[in-house]
Amino acid sequence: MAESVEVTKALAKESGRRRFFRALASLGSGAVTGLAGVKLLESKRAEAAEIPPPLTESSGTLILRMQQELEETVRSGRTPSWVMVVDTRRCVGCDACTVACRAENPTGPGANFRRVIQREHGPGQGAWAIFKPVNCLQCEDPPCGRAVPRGMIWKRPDGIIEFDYDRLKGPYARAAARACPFGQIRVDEGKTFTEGTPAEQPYELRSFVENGQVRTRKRGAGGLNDTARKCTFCSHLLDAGVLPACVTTCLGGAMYFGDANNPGSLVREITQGRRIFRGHQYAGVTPRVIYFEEPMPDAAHIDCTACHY
Amino acid sequence: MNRNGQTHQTSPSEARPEQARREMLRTGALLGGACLAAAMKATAAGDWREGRVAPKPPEAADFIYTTCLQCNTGCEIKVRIQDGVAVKIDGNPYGPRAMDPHIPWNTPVAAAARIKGSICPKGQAGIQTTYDPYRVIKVLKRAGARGEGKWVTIPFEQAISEITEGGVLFPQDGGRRVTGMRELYALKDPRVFAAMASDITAIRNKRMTVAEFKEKHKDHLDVLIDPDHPDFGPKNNQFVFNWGRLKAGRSEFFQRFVKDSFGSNNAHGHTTVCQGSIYFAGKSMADQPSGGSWTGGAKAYWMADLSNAEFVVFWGAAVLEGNYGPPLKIPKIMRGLASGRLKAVVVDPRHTKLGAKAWKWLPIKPGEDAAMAMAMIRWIIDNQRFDKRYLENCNRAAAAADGEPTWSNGAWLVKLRSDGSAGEFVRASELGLGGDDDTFVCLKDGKPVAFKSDDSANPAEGDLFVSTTINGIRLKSGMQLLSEEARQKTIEEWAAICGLNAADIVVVAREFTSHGKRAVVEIHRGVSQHTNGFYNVLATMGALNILIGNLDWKGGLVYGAGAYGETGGTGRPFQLGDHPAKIAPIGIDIIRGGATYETSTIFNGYPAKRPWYPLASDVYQEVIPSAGDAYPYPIKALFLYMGSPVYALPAGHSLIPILSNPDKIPLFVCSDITIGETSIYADYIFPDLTYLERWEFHRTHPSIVHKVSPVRQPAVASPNETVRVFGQEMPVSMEAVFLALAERLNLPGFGPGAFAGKGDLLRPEDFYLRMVANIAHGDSSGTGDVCPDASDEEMAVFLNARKHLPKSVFDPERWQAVVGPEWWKKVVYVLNRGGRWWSYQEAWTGEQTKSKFGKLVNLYHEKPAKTRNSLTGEYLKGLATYLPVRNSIGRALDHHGAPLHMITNRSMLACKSRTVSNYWLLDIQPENYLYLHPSDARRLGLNDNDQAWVISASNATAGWDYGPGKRKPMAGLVRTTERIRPGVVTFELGWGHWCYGASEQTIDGVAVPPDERRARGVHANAAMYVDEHLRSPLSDVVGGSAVFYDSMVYLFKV
Repeated sequence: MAESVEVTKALAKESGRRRFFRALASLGSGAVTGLAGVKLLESKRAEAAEIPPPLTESSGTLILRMQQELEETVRSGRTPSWVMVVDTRRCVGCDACTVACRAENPTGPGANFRRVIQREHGPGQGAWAIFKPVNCLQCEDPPCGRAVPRGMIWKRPDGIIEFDYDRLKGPYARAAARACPFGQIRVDEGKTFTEGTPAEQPYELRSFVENGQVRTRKRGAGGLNDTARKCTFCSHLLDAGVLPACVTTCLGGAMYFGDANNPGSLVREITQGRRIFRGHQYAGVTPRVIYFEEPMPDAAHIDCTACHY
Repeated sequence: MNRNGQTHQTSPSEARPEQARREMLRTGALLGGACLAAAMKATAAGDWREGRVAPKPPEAADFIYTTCLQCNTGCEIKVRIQDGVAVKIDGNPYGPRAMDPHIPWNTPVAAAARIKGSICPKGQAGIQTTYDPYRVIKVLKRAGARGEGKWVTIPFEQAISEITEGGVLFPQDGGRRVTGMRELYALKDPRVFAAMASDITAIRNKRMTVAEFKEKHKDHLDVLIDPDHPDFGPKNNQFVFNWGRLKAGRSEFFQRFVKDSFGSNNAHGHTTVCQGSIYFAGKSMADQPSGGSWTGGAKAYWMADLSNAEFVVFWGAAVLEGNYGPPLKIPKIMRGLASGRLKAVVVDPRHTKLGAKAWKWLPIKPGEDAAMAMAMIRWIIDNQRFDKRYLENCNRAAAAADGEPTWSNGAWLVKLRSDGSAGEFVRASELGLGGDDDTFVCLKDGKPVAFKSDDSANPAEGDLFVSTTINGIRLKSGMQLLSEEARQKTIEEWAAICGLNAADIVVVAREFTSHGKRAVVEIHRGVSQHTNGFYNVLATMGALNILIGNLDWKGGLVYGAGAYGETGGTGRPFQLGDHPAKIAPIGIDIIRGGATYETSTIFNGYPAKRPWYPLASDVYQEVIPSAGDAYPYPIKALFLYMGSPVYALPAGHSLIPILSNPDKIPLFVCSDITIGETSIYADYIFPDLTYLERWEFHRTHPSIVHKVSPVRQPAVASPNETVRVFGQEMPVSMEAVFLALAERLNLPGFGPGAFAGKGDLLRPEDFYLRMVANIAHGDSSGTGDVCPDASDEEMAVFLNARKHLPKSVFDPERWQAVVGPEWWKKVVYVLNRGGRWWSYQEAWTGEQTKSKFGKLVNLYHEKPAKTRNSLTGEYLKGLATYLPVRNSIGRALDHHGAPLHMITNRSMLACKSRTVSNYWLLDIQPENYLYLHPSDARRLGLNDNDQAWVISASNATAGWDYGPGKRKPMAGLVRTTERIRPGVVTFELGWGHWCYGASEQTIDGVAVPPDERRARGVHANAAMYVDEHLRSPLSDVVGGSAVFYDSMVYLFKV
């Protein structure tokens, strides 16, 4: 396995991806502000130079525990610090989350809030592939917020970044989208999948709640066309005591969600002593989506270092 | 922004976006997020909560719990309904497939409302299968030539009348007269069926001549297809019902029509296009001795207990992409891998997604699976790594003494023929040891010991490696024979055949034999869909697992716990088999399934015109070609339900000339939800209900260790036109068609009094609600297992959740009347949860699975060993063996020098013929690719994103000629990847459509324009090998598999 990691590191050296991150690192290092909730989840590379022992096996995806924690938080009225933890080892690149997201948060063609990146390389029997789901990181200090006038983008006390869909339109929408270093803001083009077919279908034009407002993708006044949109951690579900759609549907059990302020939470437990990917910090932001940076035990599986040196 | 003519509500002092961005870049580089943090705080502290809508927690009545059918896994789902529309599909947390572990079945539905299980991307996009703008919602009749794509809508009653009465229905066909169903319903009397059945058996056994038969049945000869061949059966058999995806409930309903009431023996499924040779090899492994022959094996197979296994060789089984199925298996695999409990090996020409997570990838050469298995078997035997204690057990008593639920027959003695080949087991009586036809012999310490397999009192243990002669009879043990098969070549030689390193195989064999019972070889289509599929399966799923004796053990090879008996049985309230005049159909079926060539009246030496399948059934690729060859007899009417053989079968293009020809298939009726690649040839298309609109009982499959009975029930209203049958209003469906035909033909078993005086069958729910009541009853004949009544609160949830359903779909008073007040609230309890199943922990007892196979599992197979190949006339082998890929008559394939071995694979974003309507999935992957190794691409002068034609010996023009003047080019985008064996090209099934909304159809003179998104990509099945002798898809003539992976192709840059 060590050999394959060496190979992948060598390959990664040539990748534009790596250059991208290196450039960002020089741009934004030192900008990590580290607010309380998020800081708890950070783990310095030096502390975890050795790969930690495997996590003990729990049945399934631990959805019930996360659900209970969430309901307890909602009931208590405490202000949580929501974080999403991604164990990329367990991501199988199935895109169940991609579709769950789109069904939960209606979006048009090419405008999903979430997708799964896949990278692969050879050679021969040492070939590898890695899958990484991405969505808005809910940065503590989001570049999108700097790109548009004050008040159009705000942060909720629980850390979720929300958009004012009545104002974040047109040029502002595009400015916000361009400002995201990770390409996670979409400008809704107002298109549906079934327009131009024999019959546009009603599920596409249903009403839904996003950023605290009832919305619909129907064209016309109050529509969302030309509006910047992105992942909200399914805040409309969270507020009602339901986990985000990508978390519950994850087949591999790669997704964890919870309150970093709660010392007993699963997200705290699951990240304790783990190697955490810090590439986003080098881009000048502190994310609320935390990625494990560890290989699979007993596998020729590579980790984040394949692409991010 | 002014240039765009837009205004905004911000004050002039606020920065313009472009300026803001520049500002950000400048300050960002210096100050990072510091300035922003300040800005954010200013707003966050303010009024963000003002004017927000109050969160609305989900309520139980927002959901209907039903069962997915986007693939055959059948995951339990919960469908969120908003304003009568299905808007979101989640995993049903009660269900073992969709939640790991699933929540207790008695959890109140109110508490489950907020809990979601997991479900794959296809499952979530199923909304778009239902809300498909290209759905057929009225009955269509062909207006042009077959395949021309011209239709008229006609009333349902007219279609039923025309199909029943026949006549000149299509003047454009030149005055041809179509035989109607009334004429095909020739023999009606169940007693005559029974009398003829025994005499046909007598003819087969040479106890009666055809002349004697004709004399005895001279009053009924007119009902026979051919009086000179009584074994063809009556004209009723010329009505053929063929299906693609059919699960329980609908299966019993439809077969009730086809077999029990109409009396046709031709009801054929699609098993062989999926994994036929696994099923039929599994059936052979499960057969038990009975009266001198072997019976009782079910069409089923074994898979790994992934919740507990420590080492699994996933062999031709893409468990992270397709298989049985993602929500069920992936959580168990991934938690195992991430915790270090499970170590996985991928044996596949493709790296597969699992390759990214596995310990090792062995990129095997397609079709040479048995060679690798033989290498492993040889190593295991040479190094004594097999479970000797398990294998020595010859019967139930010996197995029980070792705490083993199963035993095998590797120590049983087999007789050798004069040429040295292995034949039947020797019977004790042949060695003077007494006993009957089921008394077998093993050798213990050099002495023959007689025993019976199922004897639980007298243990028999035998020596494993025996080669001896007793009473002049040459005998070898099954293990000896297996060892000889494996020793035909060295491990290095086997490795060379399958294109792997011997060292890799040895390492895998060592690891496989290092985990006790918690290691498994789990296979799937990659092993079975070859001409040698049956024997590949015996070598992998069979021999390798038997060698370590892992059957029925926790973490070992498991058989699946089955489902609750919905159709009735002891103690259950409703017997769905009740029928006032049930027919047992007779005669050879048109695919010759389970039939023997040599005993038929058309035996005429070898090769037979088309293969006979004594060990298989549901041979999908034989139905239409047999009709084309009128072998063994011509058919008159073909009904196709939820199937698209032209698209789904390898070399499906070879079916098109037959389907297009009304002389071969005079009446072709399809039940479909769109105009698909096969229904385009139909004379009539009846719209069907999608899975979110209908009933079905998906039951289980081999890898589910829990007993499970998920229910598929209407979640939304159907857009189909409603029709009236037996005085009842219902949306058009396959059930409506059968009910209407039964009404018109006055068939017993449908309508008033259908259940032999115990109820009516006027509409679908009359059947299906009784099945739900049987599930509610549970297992026991007493009351211990009967499910509770739904509480008043849950009754209200049930009704509220269905407020959007029209009375033609949901009529609570009528529903209650079907099952009666005693069962109604129990039925609701089951429906509110989408079915019934064991609790999570119930699946295992100690170190074993609770539900066990618990019987003899065959290492040596007597039935095949005494069966001849109907084409070559040679005896089949009775055990795992290596066979090279051959055509039906045993010749090497001629690929005209094509350089690339073409296989197929599944993306989780598509399920063959039926998901191209799912735009959410197409948005992720708009088209598929031809994946090949960079070295092959260089050799062929191809680059990423080149369009390439797929050309082969079977398809020199790289296209599908699918109708008059209609052609779909067969070219796809090239994508190179290191994650494939050099020399192999693969493509994902599910794209490259030319129907299903991908081509223009004319309905009532109006052209419906196609959606080009649905036409993208390549479907290269038409480059797959057409068997020279059969002129139809290549087939494993033993196990029945349609062959996907034995074709060679050229790729040429467009």
